[in-house]
Amino acid sequence: MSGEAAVAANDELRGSLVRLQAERGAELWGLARHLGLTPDEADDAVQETLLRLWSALRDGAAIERPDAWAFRTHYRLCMDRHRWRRRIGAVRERLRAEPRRSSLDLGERLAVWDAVEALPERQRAAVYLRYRADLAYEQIGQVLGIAAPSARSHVSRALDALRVALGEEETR
Amino acid sequence: MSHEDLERRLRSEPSRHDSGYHAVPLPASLVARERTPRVGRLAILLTTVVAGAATAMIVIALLGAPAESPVGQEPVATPLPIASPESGVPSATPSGTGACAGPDLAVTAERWGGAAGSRGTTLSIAPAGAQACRLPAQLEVRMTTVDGGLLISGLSSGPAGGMLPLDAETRYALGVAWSNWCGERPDGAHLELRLRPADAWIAVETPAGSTDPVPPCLGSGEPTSLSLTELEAQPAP
Repeated sequence: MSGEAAVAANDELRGSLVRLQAERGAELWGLARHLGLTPDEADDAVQETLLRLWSALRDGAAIERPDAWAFRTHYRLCMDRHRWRRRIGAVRERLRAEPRRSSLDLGERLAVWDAVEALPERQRAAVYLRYRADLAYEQIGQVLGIAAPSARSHVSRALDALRVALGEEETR
Repeated sequence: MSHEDLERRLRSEPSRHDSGYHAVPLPASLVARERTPRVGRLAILLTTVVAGAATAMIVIALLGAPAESPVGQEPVATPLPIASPESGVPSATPSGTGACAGPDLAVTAERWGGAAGSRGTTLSIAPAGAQACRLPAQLEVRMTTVDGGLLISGLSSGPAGGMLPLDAETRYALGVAWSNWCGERPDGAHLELRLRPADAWIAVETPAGSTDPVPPCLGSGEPTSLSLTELEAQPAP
């Protein structure tokens, strides 16, 4: 490939990544936050995801849905990061510094996404990918590494749990 | 509340985790990324690492620890600030048993993992037999190539000269994190542990299924760093 062609190919790839960042960056970042990463870690994870996608596309990987690929890679990055931090004990410090509202604040109506925070990790991710990232169950399954019916089941169980949690709050 | 109502709320109501995103500009090219340090928070972090490294080097020099020349880059050692008052790190103990030697120890690593620029593992240090011994509170770790070439080394952040009891009831974990390797990418890297400067290195096997321990380059203008926690007492299984 000539120098000019290489530059043009790079610019084209970069342009597609910038568009993906504009369209999906906030949702990738939000997923990281919902999975327990700090804002700084979420920034890093989004950037790492985009750069990995760029590298894969540059190397000729056949990626049909770059956004789905990005969510899948991003989810793994976030989980790796989360597990690694947990192993070395830093999570304890974060929980002390940024206590999670797992119970309801009396006198305050429970926001639906606060109730999502109390769900198990995989249900939390599935709900986010379904209702924030607007992914189909097939894609959610690919992101989480499970079959589409299992992804639908995670969302369904999450909705059941949310209805219970929000129903209890509304009857107070 | 119906499922439809709930789905509508999930699509329309804000989450406190959704605000705060600011798109970080992508580099002009992937090559530029490898050559240009990322700005902002990373620069601040690396500046902190450099400052910490300078302090550590001064301390090492004052204590008379031997220096080694790495193959690729100038390594720095930076303690991770994760030890908490209730972390169970014991203080130095009086003598009563002998100092540990390599054969006294069973050292294993958890699978390497990590993301966003760093790679890490946790070492578990337990007695190899029934014999109790005393473990130096400050250990040295290095990463080497398959040929034994030094990539980077670092000291754990325990008190120099302190000794910790190691017996059937007391064993230790040591967190290891390696960041920003911009040198020639080695074909694999191995972790080795040393108790004292004059001792032999103890090779620690990389578990199957580990992420490649060699971290990506985040900024070639900044040094690579190997960060180690203090030894943290663990309950015996």
